[in-house]
Amino acid sequence: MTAFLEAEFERRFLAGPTIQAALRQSVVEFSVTALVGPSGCGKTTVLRCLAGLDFPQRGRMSFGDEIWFDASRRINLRPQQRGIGYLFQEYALFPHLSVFDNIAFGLTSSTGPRPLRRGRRTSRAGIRERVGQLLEMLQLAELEARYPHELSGGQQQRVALARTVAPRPRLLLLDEPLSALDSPTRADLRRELRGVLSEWAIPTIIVTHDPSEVTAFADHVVVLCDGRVRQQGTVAEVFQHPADAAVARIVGNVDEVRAG
Amino acid sequence: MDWTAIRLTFAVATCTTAILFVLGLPLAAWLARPGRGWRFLIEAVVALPLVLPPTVLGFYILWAAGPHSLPGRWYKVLFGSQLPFTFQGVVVASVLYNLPFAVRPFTAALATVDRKLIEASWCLGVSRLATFRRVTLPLAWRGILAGLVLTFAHAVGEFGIVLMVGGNRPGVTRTLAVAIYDDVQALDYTAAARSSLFLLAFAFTVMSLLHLLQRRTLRA
Repeated sequence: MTAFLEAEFERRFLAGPTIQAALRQSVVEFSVTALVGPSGCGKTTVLRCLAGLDFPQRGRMSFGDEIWFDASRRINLRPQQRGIGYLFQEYALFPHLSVFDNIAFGLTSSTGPRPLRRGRRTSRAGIRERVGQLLEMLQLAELEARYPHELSGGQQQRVALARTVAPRPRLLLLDEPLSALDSPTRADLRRELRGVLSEWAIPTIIVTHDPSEVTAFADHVVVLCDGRVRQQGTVAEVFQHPADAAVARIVGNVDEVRAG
Repeated sequence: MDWTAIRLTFAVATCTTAILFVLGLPLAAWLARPGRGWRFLIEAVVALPLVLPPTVLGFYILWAAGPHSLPGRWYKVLFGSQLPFTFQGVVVASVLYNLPFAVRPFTAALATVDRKLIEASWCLGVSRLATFRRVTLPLAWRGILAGLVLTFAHAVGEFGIVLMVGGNRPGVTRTLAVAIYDDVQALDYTAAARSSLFLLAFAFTVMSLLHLLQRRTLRA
């Protein structure tokens, strides 16, 4: 049996274009879907709607047999009830908490994603172990007592990633995870990120405007342009047979990857 | 020194500050949320005491709490007494009159907390209330403290509305500011000078602390 995240919705704004999205992502097998498109095309809006941070006016979203959102039945689960992990573009680390406490933040709540918690709090030792594991995996072990402002961009990015996956979310939503980094760090993390994601095996949706990131991590790609899905399919299909000129322009800039 | 009046003044100010902390913080949290709509009307109501003469607010409180009005009758049924010219009456009036001095600094402090941090907490499965306690409050506490200090100081110096709603009952509603007025009327300038100097010293100390706190906030 396979289960899917299925979303089909429309978010209208008072000013600016209406965003329409339709996508499908397996939630059982690990795969990465990239939402790609030029800036301002609504990629982040789509991701925020999936997280429950923004609300469409029309449509529905379901995760396996759970209904997350249904405009006609007025169903709308809160972000807390969806069991997702969301990585913000600028990381949004808690400035008043140490690296350790940032990563442990979602483990100390009683309402978090169901798979880990099953209605009870994680024990103190359980938290220590889980955070320690992530610190080691992401090479942050010596930094656990530091505060976010004492970290480099790449370190902040790793802390944010560790914090996001610590409560074992069922779906990862990454908003431009590498865009706030300088280019050498970005190249390092681009190589590392796919490996880490496949090790965790959490189905992932990643927003990016950079086609070389799509080829580096993603299995499937959804091309958004002017608030609409222009094409979707496997990375090979879309990159080799773009549906129209607009898609070709968006996915075309991959000299870096093709050369390497 | 009129110690009865001093004790009473600080009792009124303490009650006012405590009540405004409990009631004002949720109101400020609601006002600080992003969004438009008709919220400006509530903001205007909260700001009213800044421009309204205390006599006007005092008049309406007397009218609302009087024996012929509905809230006044309910209060009588619940507590067996009337609100005007009692300590409780003075506190109620002081709370209403100090609303902007608490809620406006609270709102400003809460609005400085980056919305993304709150959303990050929600996405980690932390409830709205726990997020407020674990993220918003630790990041906004200096501004909230400033609001509490300002409220307390302002409540200590309250005059017009106390006189309107409380009258001038020694030990019950006769606060230090009212006592000064009374002393001057009775030509007791020595007593008035003593109390005035006390309030001046108090106000100067509090405002110095407040500005020191704000300077620290800017640097942090």
